[in-house]
Amino acid sequence: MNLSQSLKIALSVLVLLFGACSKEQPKQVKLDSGLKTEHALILDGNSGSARVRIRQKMATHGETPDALFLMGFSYHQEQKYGKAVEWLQKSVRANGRIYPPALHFLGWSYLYLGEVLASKKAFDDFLLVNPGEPDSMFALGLLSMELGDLKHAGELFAMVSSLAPHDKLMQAKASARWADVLAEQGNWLEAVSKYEHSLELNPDLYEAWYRFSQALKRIGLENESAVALQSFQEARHRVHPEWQATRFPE
Amino acid sequence: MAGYEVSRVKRILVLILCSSCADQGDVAPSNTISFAEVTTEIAPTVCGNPNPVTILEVNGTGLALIDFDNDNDLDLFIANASGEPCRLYKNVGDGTIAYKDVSEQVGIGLNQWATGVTVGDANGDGFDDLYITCHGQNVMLFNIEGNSFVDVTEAAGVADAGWGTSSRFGDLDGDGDLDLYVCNYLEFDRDKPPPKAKYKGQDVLGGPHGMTPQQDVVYENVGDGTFANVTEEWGFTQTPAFSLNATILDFNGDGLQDVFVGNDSMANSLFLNTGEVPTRFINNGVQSGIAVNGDGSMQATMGIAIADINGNGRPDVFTTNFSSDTNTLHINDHSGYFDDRTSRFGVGLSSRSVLGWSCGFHDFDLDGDEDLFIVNGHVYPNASVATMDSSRKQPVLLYTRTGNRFVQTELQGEFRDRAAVFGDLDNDGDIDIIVAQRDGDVRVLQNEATPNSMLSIALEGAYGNLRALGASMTCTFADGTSSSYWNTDGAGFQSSHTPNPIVIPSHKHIVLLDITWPSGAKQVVTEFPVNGRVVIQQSK
Repeated sequence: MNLSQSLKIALSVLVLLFGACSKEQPKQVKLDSGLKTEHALILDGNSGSARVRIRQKMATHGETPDALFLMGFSYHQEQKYGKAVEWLQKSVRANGRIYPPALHFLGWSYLYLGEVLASKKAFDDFLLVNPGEPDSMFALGLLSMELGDLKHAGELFAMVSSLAPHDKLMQAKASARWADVLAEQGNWLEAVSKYEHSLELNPDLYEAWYRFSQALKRIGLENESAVALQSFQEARHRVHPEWQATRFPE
Repeated sequence: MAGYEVSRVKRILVLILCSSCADQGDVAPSNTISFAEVTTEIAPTVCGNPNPVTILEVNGTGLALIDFDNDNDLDLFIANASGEPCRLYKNVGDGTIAYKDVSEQVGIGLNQWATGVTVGDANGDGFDDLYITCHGQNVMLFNIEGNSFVDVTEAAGVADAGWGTSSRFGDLDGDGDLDLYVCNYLEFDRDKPPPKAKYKGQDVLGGPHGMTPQQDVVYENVGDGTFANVTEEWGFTQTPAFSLNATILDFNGDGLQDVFVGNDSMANSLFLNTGEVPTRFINNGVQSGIAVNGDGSMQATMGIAIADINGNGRPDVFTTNFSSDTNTLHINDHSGYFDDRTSRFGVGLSSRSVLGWSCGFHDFDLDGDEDLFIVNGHVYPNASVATMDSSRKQPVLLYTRTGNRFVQTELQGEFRDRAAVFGDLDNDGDIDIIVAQRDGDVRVLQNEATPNSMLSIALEGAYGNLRALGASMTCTFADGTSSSYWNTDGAGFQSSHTPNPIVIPSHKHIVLLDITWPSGAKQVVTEFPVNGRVVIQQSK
């Protein structure tokens, strides 16, 4: 990354921070320590049990933003985004208080439902209370691609890399998407370089292996492309052993 | 149909403002899309139980637009399953849209479990014939001079008994007559349906996962009214797949007809014609990048639409897919590769909540570029946003081409749609649409565009393929721009329509038309009227 790119990114981050300070924020709450077991249950894949416990707690303590978030988060983890949106919306509207991650997951849930503008608004709102959060910036990059603004998407992915210098996985996925933008712009050589960087950081990014193989073909490296395609198949099987000859888009 | 009352004429599509049209010529083009639903005597389709309980019932049944009596209007064939006979409706509109059931009169009495239909002049007598795919033995009906249809399945040698879905006619060996590609789905015994499966935690009807896919079948037209099974000889044997749709045209610009096959939950195939003698095809799907989407993921391709989206003269391929996935737009470059550019053109995320079937690129608003119409509906009767992020009844998706993007508009109504066919039903110069729900109403949508002054160009091929299925055309305009078109039957899911003429708005002054006929022969036309209808015959 050259100096002007770095300056541009630093400036963008400052603008984000300034924007966040200039608006009045709803009162932020933290995850109640009494809900940590339920949070852990969701992360362990026991969303159903978690929901039973959360409902019991809400019956006693009321519908707090963090409890409502966990309800939505439990559905999000089960990839039931319609239900997730229902609860996350309740969370972000709860009594003038906000548990900020609700906005972030609301953004992702809307994205998976294909509601581009609602998703963008949720991520924008989340960044107001949590400026420069890399995963939301990453999501906004994806949304910019969908909205046809490749230039802005590239800037966002570049920014994510600088905002998360020690997060290898985040760097990897941002680099892979940056490569996608370059590929769409026909800059295959730079795309290849970005894919390589991404896959060094996270060899499990099977989608990036696939696109890397396609980019290698474009620059005439057929043999290397075949090797990358093989790596794609191995990584995909490693990450999703349940996907065999056929798959559902779950 | 439950929950949906058909009014006499219902305006169902919202007007769309198309802000970027001003740079498209010296005459302001039409910039709205509007359809009116017309009440007709067309009966609902029949396909098993109202709430499907097996995979056999979920795909619904197909439609075909065919001018069976060569009276220059589009008649309608409807496939039906579960014992209900198929139907043929004659266009009796005379400038309006009206259909009359003539099934008995012309001998359409099929009552197999029909699934799909394709239209083509199989015996080269100048009258379009029908090939009807079924669960069980398919049926070939020869059209006897527009007066009646005769079942010639056994005699013609096309009695494949798999679970046929879509089929296509095309001149695969370049000998001037129409060969036949038949998509087959999977092994299914109605008496032993597979056990229920899980989708997003819900109990759903079983399949296709865990079931045995069937081999597609390719028939060579021998030329005497019979066909020969050349599946293996021509190189179409591969790992069998759950095939749902196909389209035949020249994908790589070498003048030879190729075959793109859309498969359910498996990689798609692109069979490239090698041009060898004897005829030989190789599957280039993975190598070219069209087998999967840009993530390398296999999808569930139902609908296929073809257009030159990026203006490079090559056919780009749009496919509709399952819910919680996106539809996919593969852009065909000049080096034999396809790039997934779904997001760039704005047709990706907006499709995640729907399950797409038939689709088509057509210039509905007559502004000189292609718009996109997609019908949707979930396969699972228990689908809802709460359970599967996708409802059972779904809206049509309509996108207007606006510069380098497709802009979606909100449409009224939710349906269980499967099939759609596109054609000028009232002969007023614009493209109308007929849509069929799975086991439900058939909707006729009359395009309310106002064709003022335009040039309509149709092709007439040589004997054996008079409709010139598979021909390509590149128009060069006075401003130096160009557009390419393919003379296909539309590749609707399990459906087919006789090729539509291309329509050039008068503000685009065509100066040259470069035609590649299905045989690979080239023809250049340089003189055109400003408007009217032109039929270009293949030169001898």
